[in-house]
Amino acid sequence: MNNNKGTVPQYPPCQAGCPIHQDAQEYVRQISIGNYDKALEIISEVNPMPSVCGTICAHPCETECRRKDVDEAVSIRALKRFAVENGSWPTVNKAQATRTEKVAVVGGGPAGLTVAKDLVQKGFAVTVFERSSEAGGAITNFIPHYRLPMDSMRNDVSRIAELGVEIRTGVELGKDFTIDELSNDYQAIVLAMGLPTSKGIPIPGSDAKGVMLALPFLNEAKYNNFMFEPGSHVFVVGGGNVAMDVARAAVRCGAESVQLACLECRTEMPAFEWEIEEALEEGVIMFPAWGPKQIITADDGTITGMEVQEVLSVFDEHKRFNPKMGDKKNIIEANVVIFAIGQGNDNLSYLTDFGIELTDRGILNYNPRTMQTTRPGVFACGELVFGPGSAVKAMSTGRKTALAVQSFLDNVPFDANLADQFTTFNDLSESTVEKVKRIDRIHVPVLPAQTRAQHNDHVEIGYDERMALCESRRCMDCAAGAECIDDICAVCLTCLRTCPYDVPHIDENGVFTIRNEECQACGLCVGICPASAIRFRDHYAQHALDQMEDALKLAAQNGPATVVFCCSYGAFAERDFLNYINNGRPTNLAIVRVPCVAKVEVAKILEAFDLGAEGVFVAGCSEEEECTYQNVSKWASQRVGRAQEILEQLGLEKDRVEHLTLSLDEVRNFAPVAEGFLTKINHVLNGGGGESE
Amino acid sequence: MTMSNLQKVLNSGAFVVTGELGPPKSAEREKIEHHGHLLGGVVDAVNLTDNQTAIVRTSSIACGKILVDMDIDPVIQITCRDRNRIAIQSDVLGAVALGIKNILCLQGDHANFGNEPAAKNVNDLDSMNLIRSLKNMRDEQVFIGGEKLEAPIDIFIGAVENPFADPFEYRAYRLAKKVEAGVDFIQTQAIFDMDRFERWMAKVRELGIHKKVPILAGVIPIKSLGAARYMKNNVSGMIVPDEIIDRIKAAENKKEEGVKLCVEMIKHLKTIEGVAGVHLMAVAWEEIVPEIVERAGLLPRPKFD
Amino acid sequence: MIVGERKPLQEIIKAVEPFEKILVLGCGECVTVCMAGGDKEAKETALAISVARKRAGKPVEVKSHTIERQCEFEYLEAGRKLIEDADVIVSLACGVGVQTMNMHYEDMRTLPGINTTFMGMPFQQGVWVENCLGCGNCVLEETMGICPIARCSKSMLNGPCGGSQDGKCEVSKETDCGWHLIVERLMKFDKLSALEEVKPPKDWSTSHSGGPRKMIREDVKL
Repeated sequence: MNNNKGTVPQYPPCQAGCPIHQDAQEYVRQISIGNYDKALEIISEVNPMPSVCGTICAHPCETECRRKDVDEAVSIRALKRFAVENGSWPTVNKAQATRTEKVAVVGGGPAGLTVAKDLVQKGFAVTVFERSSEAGGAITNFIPHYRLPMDSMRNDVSRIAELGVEIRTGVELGKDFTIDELSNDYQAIVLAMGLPTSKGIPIPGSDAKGVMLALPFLNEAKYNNFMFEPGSHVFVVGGGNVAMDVARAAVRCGAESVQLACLECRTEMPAFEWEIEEALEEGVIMFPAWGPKQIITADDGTITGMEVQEVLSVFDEHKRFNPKMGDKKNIIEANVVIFAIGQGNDNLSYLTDFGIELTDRGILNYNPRTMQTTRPGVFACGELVFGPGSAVKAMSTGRKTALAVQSFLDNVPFDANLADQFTTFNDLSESTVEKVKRIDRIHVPVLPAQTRAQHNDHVEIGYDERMALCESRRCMDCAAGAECIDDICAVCLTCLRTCPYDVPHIDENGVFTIRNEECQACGLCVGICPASAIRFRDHYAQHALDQMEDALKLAAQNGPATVVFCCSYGAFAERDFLNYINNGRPTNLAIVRVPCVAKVEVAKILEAFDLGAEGVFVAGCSEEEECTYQNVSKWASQRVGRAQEILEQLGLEKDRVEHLTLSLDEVRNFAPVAEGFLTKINHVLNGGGGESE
Repeated sequence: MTMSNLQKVLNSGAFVVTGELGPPKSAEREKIEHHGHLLGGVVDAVNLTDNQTAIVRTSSIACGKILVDMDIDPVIQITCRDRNRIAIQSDVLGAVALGIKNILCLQGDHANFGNEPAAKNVNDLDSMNLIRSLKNMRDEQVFIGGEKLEAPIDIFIGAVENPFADPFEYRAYRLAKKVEAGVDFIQTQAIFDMDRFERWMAKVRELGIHKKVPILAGVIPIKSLGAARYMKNNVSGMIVPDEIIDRIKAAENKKEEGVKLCVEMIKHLKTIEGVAGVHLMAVAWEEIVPEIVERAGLLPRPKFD
Repeated sequence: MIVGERKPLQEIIKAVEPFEKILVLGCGECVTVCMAGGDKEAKETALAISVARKRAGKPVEVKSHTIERQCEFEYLEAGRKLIEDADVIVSLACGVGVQTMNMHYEDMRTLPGINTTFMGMPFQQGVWVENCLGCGNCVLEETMGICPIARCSKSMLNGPCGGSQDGKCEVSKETDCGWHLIVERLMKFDKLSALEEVKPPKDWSTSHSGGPRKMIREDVKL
């Protein structure tokens, strides 16, 4: 959900934190109400690699999630995976070719594939040149099976190909074709070759037999069933994500022991926290703040150990890389050493003949604002020019580059700085944080640590339906909620008194505002505002309530119709319940799911009767602990009570309207509950259910 | 101008006994005369209630005239609930013209309680205003609006105070205010909670009010358990302790017990400093009054010419 | 603010029986705040009338609309099209608004949909209490800010009467004795002696008793 403050969109923090601005809030909400198909549709619109991101994304959205101040961030990445695995993929609509120009993309990793997808959807013809036998880049070549099953990547790539991107594998720039040859057929070129080279450290012994580099090792482990010789004690140098992959892959390759040292202290280690945790669980022994000094070899040249030296600090006061070593030294026994201390691009010197300059350090001379190299029409993106980073970051650079290419081909100016402007919200205020109900984040189930390192099966099991429904409910719907329609607001302060979160507020100057950014979208204020002067920014609640009319019309075709308003979260979002609504329910029962039954207003109940309903039931759940809102039953009950009063004045029996709360079992076994409603109404229609009863 | 009998008895220092008569919901003169006969001679003056508890009854002044004709000293009551200042002042002039002297000033129970709950509660004046206005009519010969009366009148001004109403701490002060406003005698609400009454009297004495105005303690003989309960639960401003209810309940002859209790109370009240007499409200049981007065040792009543 | 309460629906429904096109008109001021006649209630009332008529076999067209303030001619004018389109208006404004409607739309039938009751305030959400009678001569200074005219059932100036018990009025246990509150407040500030003075009878000529009142500011007249 976007809000446009002027011309710059305002994203909720999750969307702002995501480099490709995935509308996490919206797909999480769709999951929470059981619409997994819709969730996947939303994800696919923006994300070219939903399966990959759902499994291994670095999830900066979670880092920005405002829920972290309350208890813990919403588990957005795992929810994305749930949608990928439980929703139906939307059909791929092959892109229409509306332009005559063709674009060549060199490198089929996340950045290259994203540029390609975007440009093909803008109407261009695009060919991706990939030197491996399969597209996917670092993800395909290096990321181990246990972290990302190959099917995920293949699924995403095939959907991109289905769109109309031509992918040619097994061809390499500089060997099989040149830039000039490309520019004969393609009006723009994008270089996205990534950083496929592992770096080593030229310490004494680094040329010994048994010294390996991270990326080639990972590739061997992934594709060639590489196994260490028995009795291999592996020593990994490095503290980043690749180092974790190397260590964990080494365990699975049969190493007797795997030890790891890095310059950074434990809290400074650049690897993701969860990667470090899982590696430790699998038996990797780590020595943070120890630097490699030399590799000790025997006379025959085989490695016997690693000499390490203590590190006092890594960065100086100017935050520059400037390690200070201490005096302590140690020798750790090992017979294999794998360097995982960084990647670099391949040797690009072959490009200089074609007007594409390099810097002194051998990297592309790149203009980040035009996103071009020194040769006009030749662009670059991804890790190749932005340095090591996450897949989603690479994708976002690809997305921007597609805009740059389009501008180039349209002959209009382009400035990368202006291409991705947005604003977001401040953190939740302390007073709001205090009032939000605490609900623990649901841990994503993983295989048991003791056994999972014995094979390459995917370590993460992922959420089941119940977990996903509960976790997605923790999303606070940042800024989707209440805003005041100033023109008709009577400033009566009813909302201020009713809101559990202090969102409507009188500031120190005595000015009343509804602080939309603090709103939890529970809707109590909307329901109680006597001037109808509060609306939600996002229309999903109104949309859900509006379904009543059609549902009732349909039901009325099959006899005296009764309306049931029920919640759309929790057990009411489970597949079985949705199946019941779609297939199993009595045909004269109109079941309308709404995001919280406290949003059903008195007028809505009256409207049902006005449209011919014979009864209205408002069914919430009794699981107060699971509900993220507050006071729901109280307000729903009071509203229904008022509706009853009004209807009684019109001669309609009390029994025609009821508020009830259902246990989990009752929701899951809804048929008898539904029958109960109809029995009640039939009783009324046959003369019962009045005051005298 | 002659004093009313009530005023004479009070001035003599004798322990005063006043009675009460609730007019009927009809124009039956005979009924009033009948009760007058019962009470005449055993009490010093007889109150005529003014549409008490907002129930329409024969007017207090009219009944007062009937008693005047029987040589009985009436105490007519005027509430502020039913009449504005014009009607009240007019009624006072009329009452005096008919020979009535004693006038009790009350605010009046709210019309919600009576048989005309839809009536407008006038309350143009409050009871304090009423007392002061009557005093000014008598002593300054002036109406509320400022005009002078054409000739002087003589009235004996009474008021009610309720030791059982709240805020308790303020009640004695309110009595002092009524004295300041010009009241000549006080009748209290019926006493059942003797303890509270004594505490109130202590405060009254502390403020010296008992020296400025005679206080007649109200008593009601309990006729039945139902009557006791009704007074406890339904009459505002009345406190009936549970011990009293229990005592009546336990008694075989409830009426006799009620009389006994009443006599005991009167005898006790005689001993309290500052109590100048009793106001015996045997409403709907007027026939018991002679017996009570006798058993309390208050007969014969003093006679003056 | 002015407080009112919607009339019993049967009364409204009976009153609009002869009509075919009904407009329920809410007001955006006091009656919104006391939840008697704002936009929400206007919608509810319109739906209630519609439901009742449908069930009686005499369906009718009912619309609802809310006017910022029904006691202002200009605001009423803004709703002319909708108003003139109807046969009858059920106004949920206070009596002032209903009368202004009748003044401005002389040929329209505007009926009252609420009973206007009192001037008061929201003591807590959902509970409005009366505390001003518009007597035209405010004596709040003398009674420490608690009005003896409005909050005493007998409008006494020298209260309390003998029916005050446990801080409650004899009329109802739900009603505070106004004078009890005044005495307590005076005791709190050690000013009980202020009650020693016998206050003279109130001059009611400044209240409605003296006739319907007007307030005029010459300096702002056009």
